[in-house]
Amino acid sequence: MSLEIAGLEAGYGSARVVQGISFTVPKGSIVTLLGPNGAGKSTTLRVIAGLLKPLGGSIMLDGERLDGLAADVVVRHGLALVPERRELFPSLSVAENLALGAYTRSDRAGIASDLDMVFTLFPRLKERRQQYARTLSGGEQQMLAIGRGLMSHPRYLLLDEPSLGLAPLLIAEIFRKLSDVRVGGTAILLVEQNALAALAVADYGYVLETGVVQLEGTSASLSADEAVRQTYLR
Amino acid sequence: MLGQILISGITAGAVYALVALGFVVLHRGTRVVHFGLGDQMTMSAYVVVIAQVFLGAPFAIAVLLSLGVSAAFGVAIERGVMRPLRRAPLLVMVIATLAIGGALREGLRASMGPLPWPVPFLLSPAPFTMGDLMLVPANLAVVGVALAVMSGLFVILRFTRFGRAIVAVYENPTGAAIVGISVPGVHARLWGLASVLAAVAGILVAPLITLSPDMGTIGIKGFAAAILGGFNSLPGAVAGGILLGIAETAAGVYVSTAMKDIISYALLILCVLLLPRGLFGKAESRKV
Repeated sequence: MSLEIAGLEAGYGSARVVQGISFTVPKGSIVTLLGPNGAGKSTTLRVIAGLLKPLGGSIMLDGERLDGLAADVVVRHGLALVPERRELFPSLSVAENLALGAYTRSDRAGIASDLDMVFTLFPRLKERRQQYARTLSGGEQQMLAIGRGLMSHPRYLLLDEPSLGLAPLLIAEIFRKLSDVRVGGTAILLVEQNALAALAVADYGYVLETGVVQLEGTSASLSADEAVRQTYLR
Repeated sequence: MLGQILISGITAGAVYALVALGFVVLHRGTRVVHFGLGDQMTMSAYVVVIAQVFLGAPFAIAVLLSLGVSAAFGVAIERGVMRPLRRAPLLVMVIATLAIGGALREGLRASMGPLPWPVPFLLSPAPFTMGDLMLVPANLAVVGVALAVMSGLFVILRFTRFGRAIVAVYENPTGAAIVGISVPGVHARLWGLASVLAAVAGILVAPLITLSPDMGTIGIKGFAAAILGGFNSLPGAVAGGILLGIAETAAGVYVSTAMKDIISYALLILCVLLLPRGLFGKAESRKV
């Protein structure tokens, strides 16, 4: 049981940003994709989530083929994306944003218990549940984006740069919560530029550069690797 | 006199508001301005006449049939024309809507003839007086139906799954897609919904003016009302319609009846020049 990416190629127009990358996210694990700007990390997530059609390779989710499916179909297969730009519904309330996160579901009891879970994870969202999403701070918006993703009850959650634009204290708080999410049984694929924070929570990591996997290993071995330290961990 | 102007103005304005809602409902989700909407009004009124006169259907059945045909026609435009054009520039889609409107208009002229058809009133056109005011049951019915349809629309958007999906696409199409909403599916719904709004307006207004293939030019007033309301606000579209109806009636009374039709174009131009966001339009807030 895993999310398996094999030989994935993708890009925009004639620019091939992802040039045949392969990696695996085992069930219930946290895997991180590291790498500099423009390495193809975000593009990889967009393709897996169905926002962008792949140009080659395959995406298998627990034995089902995902590549080529549209985003609204992918989420029904148990995979949710928390995009880099968060893509919230600005003039809807926190509660309405979360309710739309459960759009594909009809099990009322399950939705209610997942809402409790999200509010336990991020008590701030509970306090602000009647506020418009656009009035939230950056950190709260990130919490809402993660909460909305969790409301679809995914087996795999894709997170694109959750630390972007947030204060260090907040980054630490959000990353701590990611371990809680994994305890709930959801595997996480984490794209990050903040390699230090990512390797601290992840089990395994892949380093991408110009659209190919340069290096992979357990978080401990990547943290200890001299090349990784020099490039990303300073 | 003022009361009378308000009453007449609101009757016309209610119809403009429905058409304006059609423009806004569609534009907010798809960015397309549908210049064939006025001709869809005409078509829906003709469907009622055809069902009654040629098929012998009772009025209620004829109206239901017309609404159904309009909704299906709207969805067919999305599937058959807009979806294949989805990667084309917006201008190409807008030109396609002009072509659709023209085809409808000329198709009706060819099949139904250029002369006006009588359309039955919903209620009696004979006026009665209440205090100083002269009321026309047929006009009151127009206002009543329009209000009911508008309230229904707001309830649908606020409380149904169908409507929540539309609101989500209005707010953020990418966000909608990743929570599981089919954006092309919502576009089809919006085309259907805008077409039904135009159909209701067409069926309501046809008995008051004359039903000929050119009746759809009244659609431009719905367009002006939508612009007045900011073009991205549903309550704005309703307010814009009512305001336009009242302004038009007042101009007809105080200036001259010839001014009546000029006023909507004048307001349209003034609004674009002085208030590009309309009276109620919000600045686009694409980013959270």
